[in-house]
Amino acid sequence: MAQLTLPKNSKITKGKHWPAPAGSDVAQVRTFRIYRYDPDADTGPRWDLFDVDISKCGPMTLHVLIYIKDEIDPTLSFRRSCREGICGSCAMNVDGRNTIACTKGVDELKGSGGVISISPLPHMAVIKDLVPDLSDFYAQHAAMEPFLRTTTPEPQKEWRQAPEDRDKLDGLYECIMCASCSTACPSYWWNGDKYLGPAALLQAYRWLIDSRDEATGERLDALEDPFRLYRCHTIMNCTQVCPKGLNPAKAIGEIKKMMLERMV
Amino acid sequence: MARLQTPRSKISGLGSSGHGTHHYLVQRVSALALLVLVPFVLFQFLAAFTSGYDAAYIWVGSWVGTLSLLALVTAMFWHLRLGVQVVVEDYFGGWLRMVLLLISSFGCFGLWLISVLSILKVFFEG
Ligand code: SF4
Ligand code: FES
Repeated sequence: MAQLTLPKNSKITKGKHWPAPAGSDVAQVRTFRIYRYDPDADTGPRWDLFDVDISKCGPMTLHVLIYIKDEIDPTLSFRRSCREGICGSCAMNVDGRNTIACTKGVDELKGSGGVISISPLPHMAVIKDLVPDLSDFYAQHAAMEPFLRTTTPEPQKEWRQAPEDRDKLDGLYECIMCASCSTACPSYWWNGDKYLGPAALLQAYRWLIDSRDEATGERLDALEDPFRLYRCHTIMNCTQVCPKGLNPAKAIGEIKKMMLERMV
Repeated sequence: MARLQTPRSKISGLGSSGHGTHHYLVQRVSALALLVLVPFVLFQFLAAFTSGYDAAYIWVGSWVGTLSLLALVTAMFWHLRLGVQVVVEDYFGGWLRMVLLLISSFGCFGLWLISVLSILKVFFEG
């Protein structure tokens, strides 16, 4: 259900300002407004301002966050692992758009009024600072049974696939499960309890069109629902934000086509 | 207190309801019908109406008028009902969703019925 205002305990207040140390090159200083929430404190979330001399850190947004954690405020929490856009851990909302911080260049960030905002993925419960609770998101992924389902006895060597059929998986298998797409989707915000969201549906399609899979019908059955699949209204935020350049909206469209194909 | 439930149990919920594609299909087919019917009826009706009330009345009572109007109101209220359902499901939850869906169903059906009876009345009287 739509929620158009933040609940009382989620209202964001003004937090601390950490000025750049004296002697910093003023031309290199950029201001980052970062969402902070400490579950152990009695206060709600707040915006902290960090003036960072970006000549002191690497070129990506993640470098800035690591710099802040190392040099300014060690209590800042965020997830990261691979720092090269393959693990999906560092997804967050940077400069108004969901993305992964490790491949987002600071030079690409426009900011608003000279301030670049960084907040957790939208509409998720926040565990701490930039760390959202993605348990449901992962459960949705698992519910898509992201593995080959077959009843034919396993061949001795391998399940064979024609190169053309293998090509159909391109643009689908590369998903790093960062959740940028699903958490950018209004339908997922309002009805995330029932709507599976673009990431899970892209994953579903990846297995639906796998020529080796023998459970296509059952997979479609599991999606035949006004909420699970048809909450997608082709808003396209998912495709716009995907940091891997994938197209979940198209995958969902293809699932709808398969649904029609087996009906008419 | 939050329910003690695994995320997977929460996501699986009551399972899939087994429909949705039909709604999706009818919504698009009715849109297609409206794309043809709306300009057709508008054009014909306005042409008749510019020659006065009597001419418009005669057009509504004609075979072409009655049939196209019946098709129009049927496609229109069906499409409306399906569209409103989507909006209600998007923005409302719980009992409010149920109530609004009932109101929209009865509302659309009632308006459709009144329209059909009015058109037929002109057809049989005219
Ligand atoms: S489709 Fe793109 S945005 Fe969505 S989870 Fe996968 S990589 Fe992230
Ligand atoms: S740290 Fe792995 S995707 Fe950013």
